[in-house]
Amino acid sequence: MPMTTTYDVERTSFLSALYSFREALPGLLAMLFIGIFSNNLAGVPNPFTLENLFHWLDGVIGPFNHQPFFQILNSNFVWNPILLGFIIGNVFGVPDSWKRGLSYIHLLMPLGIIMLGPHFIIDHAFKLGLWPIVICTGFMFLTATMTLFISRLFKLDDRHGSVIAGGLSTGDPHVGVILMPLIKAKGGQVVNGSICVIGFGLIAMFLLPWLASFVTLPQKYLGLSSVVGVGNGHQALFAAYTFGYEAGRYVLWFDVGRHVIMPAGFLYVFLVMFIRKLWNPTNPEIHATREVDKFPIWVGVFIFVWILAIFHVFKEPAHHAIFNMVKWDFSLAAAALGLSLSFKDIASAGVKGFWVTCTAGVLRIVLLLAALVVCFKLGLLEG
Amino acid sequence: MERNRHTTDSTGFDYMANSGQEEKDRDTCGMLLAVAIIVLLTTFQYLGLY
Repeated sequence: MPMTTTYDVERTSFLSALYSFREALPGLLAMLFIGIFSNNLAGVPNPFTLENLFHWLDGVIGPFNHQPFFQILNSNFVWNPILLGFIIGNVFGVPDSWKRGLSYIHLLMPLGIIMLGPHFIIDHAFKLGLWPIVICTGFMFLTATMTLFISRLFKLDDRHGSVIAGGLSTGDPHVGVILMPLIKAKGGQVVNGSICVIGFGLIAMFLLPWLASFVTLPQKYLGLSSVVGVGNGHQALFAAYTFGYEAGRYVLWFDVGRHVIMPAGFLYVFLVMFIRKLWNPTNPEIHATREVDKFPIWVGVFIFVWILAIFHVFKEPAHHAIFNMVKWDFSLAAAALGLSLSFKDIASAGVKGFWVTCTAGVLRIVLLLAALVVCFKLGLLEG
Repeated sequence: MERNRHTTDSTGFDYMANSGQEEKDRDTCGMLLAVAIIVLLTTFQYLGLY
């Protein structure tokens, strides 16, 4: 009997999705221990975490262009438990007794995404001025559209293409994990897509300074070009510090413009793919959002919470306290995701995604530099 | 079809599969928990508890 049918027969209320405490406990404990040994989580004074190990190794290795090595690789509270779960799952396997508890990943994803809402306060970006905001926003939507289009040209699986489009356009490789339940992407596609975005970021942090050497822009806007053209946190900082100290400092100033509009980026990718699926209900080549029948209510709740954040309903320190819960949530969910993956799952998504990322990424850098030069010459950007 | 040993147990339960009524129930649980946590933390703040 298919599992969904079994569930439907045994279901008594929506709480049936939690299963019995006895069934769920082993998997929950597995997620908990992977989570607390991956990240420094609020309320857990455990010093033996992967996060601390990477910080220590950063000190041993030394900085690259003022940036810690593992931060350049985008190690964070999502990557660390995926990595640890992946190692444990592939070395020791995943016991059957864990699997009911690990299914809580599907509960944790909407939970974490909704709690992310208060994190993005739009007016924090107003200090940048109109044109930098226009450039950040415009290039986010342009990059997402270009990537989706290029992935179609390359005949890449549209779920994989969507994950890459989300990560590349928002300048955050971990957005793939957020898009996973929206797009219905496979775990292997999400991790492969994130590796593509981080991998291209490593190229972009050398490519941008080289291409920018052919144009004349003040340090301030070279900083902006790093935020929009490279993104990925410390990869943008690496590129900017190649230009100089001032450009590097301006990355921290402009990054808020990229950060606060991130939800619009992943919602845009979801909506484009969802509408495309609605218009092509029988096209067998369309996989993205295929199993999503209607607009998910929890995405509506996320948007509502994001709007409340824009109106400053969540003041400090509530917004930080809620984000600490997000870190907890994604640490547990990412542990389950890591455990679910084999090398084959990640490798089977292929290298085509990387070529899509490179094509879209290079195109973005060229168009961005052209747009910045035009805006600067027209006096839209202050010197 | 060979079962994925990482995700599927001997009874055929695949923890990465998420569809139908089970998916709706999981979404509902996640949504309610998220709203509860956000409301609780924000209320605590307005009441000056931290």
